[in-house]
Amino acid sequence: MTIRLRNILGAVAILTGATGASANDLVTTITNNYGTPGGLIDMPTAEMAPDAQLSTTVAYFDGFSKTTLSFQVAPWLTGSFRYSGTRDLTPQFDTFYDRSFDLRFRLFKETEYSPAIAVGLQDFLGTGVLGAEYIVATKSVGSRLRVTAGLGWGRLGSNNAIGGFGTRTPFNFAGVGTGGDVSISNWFKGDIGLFGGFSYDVTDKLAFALEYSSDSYDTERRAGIFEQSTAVNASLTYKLAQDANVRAYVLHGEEIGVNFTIGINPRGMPIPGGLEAAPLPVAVRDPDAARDLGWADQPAARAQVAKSLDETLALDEIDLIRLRLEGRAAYVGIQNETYDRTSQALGRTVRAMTRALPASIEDFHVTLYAKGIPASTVSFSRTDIERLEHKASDEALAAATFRDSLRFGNLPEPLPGKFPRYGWSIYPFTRVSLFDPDEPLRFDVALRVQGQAELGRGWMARAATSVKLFGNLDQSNRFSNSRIPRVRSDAARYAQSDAPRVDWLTLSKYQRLAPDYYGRITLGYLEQMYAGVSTEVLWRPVDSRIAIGAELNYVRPRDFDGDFGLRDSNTLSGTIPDFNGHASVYYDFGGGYHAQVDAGRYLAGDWGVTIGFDREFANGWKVGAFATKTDVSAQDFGEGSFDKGIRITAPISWLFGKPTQQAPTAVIRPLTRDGGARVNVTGRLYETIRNSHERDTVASWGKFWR
Amino acid sequence: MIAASLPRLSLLVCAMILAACSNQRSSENVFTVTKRVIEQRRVKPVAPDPQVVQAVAIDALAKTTGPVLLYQLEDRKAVAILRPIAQNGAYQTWAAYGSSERLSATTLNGVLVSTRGLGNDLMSSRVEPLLEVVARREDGVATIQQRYLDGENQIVNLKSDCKITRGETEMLASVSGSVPAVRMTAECWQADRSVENSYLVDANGAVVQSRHWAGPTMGYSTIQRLR
Repeated sequence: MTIRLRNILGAVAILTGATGASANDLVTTITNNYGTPGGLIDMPTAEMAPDAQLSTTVAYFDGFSKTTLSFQVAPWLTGSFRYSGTRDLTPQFDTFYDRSFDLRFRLFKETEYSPAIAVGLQDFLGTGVLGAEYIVATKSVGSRLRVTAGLGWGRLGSNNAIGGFGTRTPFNFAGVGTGGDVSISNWFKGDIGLFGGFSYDVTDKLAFALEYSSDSYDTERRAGIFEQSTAVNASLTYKLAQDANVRAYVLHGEEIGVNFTIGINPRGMPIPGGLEAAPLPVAVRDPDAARDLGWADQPAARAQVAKSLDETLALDEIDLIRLRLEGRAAYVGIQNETYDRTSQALGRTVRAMTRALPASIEDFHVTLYAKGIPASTVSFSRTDIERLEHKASDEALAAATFRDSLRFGNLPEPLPGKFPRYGWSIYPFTRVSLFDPDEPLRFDVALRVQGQAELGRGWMARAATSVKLFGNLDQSNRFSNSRIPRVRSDAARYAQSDAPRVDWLTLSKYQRLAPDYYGRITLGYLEQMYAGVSTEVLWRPVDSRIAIGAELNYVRPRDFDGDFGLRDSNTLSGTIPDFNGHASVYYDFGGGYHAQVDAGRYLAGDWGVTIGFDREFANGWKVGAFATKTDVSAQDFGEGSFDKGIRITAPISWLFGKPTQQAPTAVIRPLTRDGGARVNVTGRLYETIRNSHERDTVASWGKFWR
Repeated sequence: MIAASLPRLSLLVCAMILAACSNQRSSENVFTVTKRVIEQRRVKPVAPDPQVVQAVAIDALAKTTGPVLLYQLEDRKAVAILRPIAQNGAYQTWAAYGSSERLSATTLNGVLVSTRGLGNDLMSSRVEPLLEVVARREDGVATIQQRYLDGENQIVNLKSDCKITRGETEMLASVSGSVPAVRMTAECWQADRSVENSYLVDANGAVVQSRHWAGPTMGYSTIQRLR
């Protein structure tokens, strides 16, 4: 016996050694001046950030600033969005502001003898002032030293050229006109510059880096705002915390700069598992009591059971809205507006059922309602719940059956007195305008009063009004120069008035149309700029990866001052059509990767397609990007050429570990123009029902017994 | 501009003071979130006064009739007097006596197998192989599993290989007088750490006191049966 144990322990030790070595895997939370993960200064490396790392880097040296948001989309892919400002770069602007996107792919992982190799596209969607491509190799030597060498094109091929092939259209400001084009024909063309360097961890907190740059800052030198006496750059980085670094560097022997990085990793939660109150334990039946059906014939006993279940669920802030009790089965309808993970609401519901329901009831059928409509029914046997309470949660998953509620049938009857329900709140909030060249960050702080009434059976009324408290959104004087109907570019005019405004005022009806089919109609003041009617149909089987939807909207533009009035659909540059709409396909690839494709007619009457791609985490975080190309030409679209942006959803439960479904989403668009725009309707069907469906519930199944 | 905004500013202050100005269950906003993040960073664990713990224990023993445990999470400096709230087969679930906080812990033969509401909870354990050896008061080996949730709500199963050794017999003081108990020690190895658990076992195989490693952020959990 003892000998065998030693063997096991030996194996454990070897395993530790192996994982210990690959755990680093050329990963770093340090970023360079361009905000991409890597230990060098201006030059890229083949290092990656830890999977899912989301970092913001602010880099500054004399008149040059870059703020970059980088996301480690997958262990081998980094995506970055950057906003850079350069003082006196061009005569037209005091500061030349520019947005750019990067992608970086790791082609090969580091091995014991070979380096990691990555290929990168820098500023591949923008005006190209930072445009470059590169192939770079990084190898660690020991645990402290990382050595990098690479070949660069474009900006990274402007110094130390070792050859080249093809011709590259050089960057010039005349071409800035629209920007946003993907100029594939230029990629990896022209002079090839050789760059390299190393980073060394002097201590666990302090890192030193030295590099030879292949960027000669041609454009900036021509503008007379940059000088160089050497191509060698050096930096010192201090690690403030696990995800925060501060750095000072010397650039080309002439400039001294600083750089600050702060990151967050959605995969790591401050308090894993959350801090919510303990669930009520399962009440196990007395084996003899299960035969007793005496209660079933007594109306008073039945009413008592219903009341007891209602009260037990209320302790966990779960709303019991429907109930049917039979001798051996209970059909329970709940609406969960507390727990962001449905598995947790489900786990607490079945435990409450063990405590409140008569012992004869063996079959538990829980129907999850969302906005008043049944989205799925999950069934358990009570014996399994009793048996599995202290086992691994996957055993409870194996004992659960998910079904489409309509296909399951047997829907419980509404409980009296549950509707209408009213909710209201008063809260301050901010409205933000980004990337206006006159003032890159503008915002208003406003106070909102919002309320909603849930009338039952899928009827919802929502209203909100807000008043600006202070802010500078009204100081924008960049009024639209659009060539197509001004469906979004009049944003500045909507910010002029200080008077209270109607943010939204809608009446919605949600409806199950058939098994797998869902419907919605929303009427009223839909959003800041539009009023009208929005209708939607969605097909999604309860266990499906795929969903297909269609939306048709009738809209009229609202008055700029946000009152109840509507304005004429004719704008200076065209008429806003009454109808717009889309067909949508949603697909869950698994592993947290989701795609959505919408095709149809956009607000300005343009026809086109939107492709969105998101990485979603089981804890509610989402990070994604989208792009829309319509039949509006790049020239008519104006700066940016087509609509695109990134979106980040951050669940508040993640931060505090307390259950809440609040998860604000930030959508960052480099530019908001009129092409590829859509009306913002709250409560679209896919997001309404997906949390109650099998795939999303199972993704967080670990919370079932939490 | 400042002067003109003053009434509006005061409205904002009002809104911030009335941060939870709502009848809804969760209504965090940008200001309340910031405030809570700052508060969260300030919290440092403080060990409770032993005299208070003793007073609660005496109160619990006097006012209840069932079992009472003294429970400690060493790394968290958490101490509680526990009373049973539910039983599921051999699993006993406990809650803190004299506290309305909804926290619970579950034991199997006096050894912690799960916690709820403590943060980084131990979700479930499979310790039966170890308890079998410990209850027999013999040397042996056993593999146990302890399950946690990671930041993405996925179950992380920590496996430990344990070597169990019988130690000396000790006299353990309890409410019903002094009882002899054997000290059983389990050295447990995981992929990247090793821990040493110990259990005091009476002649019936019942664990009357345990010091059992509960998890990476909880450290050792000590449970002592007071009655």
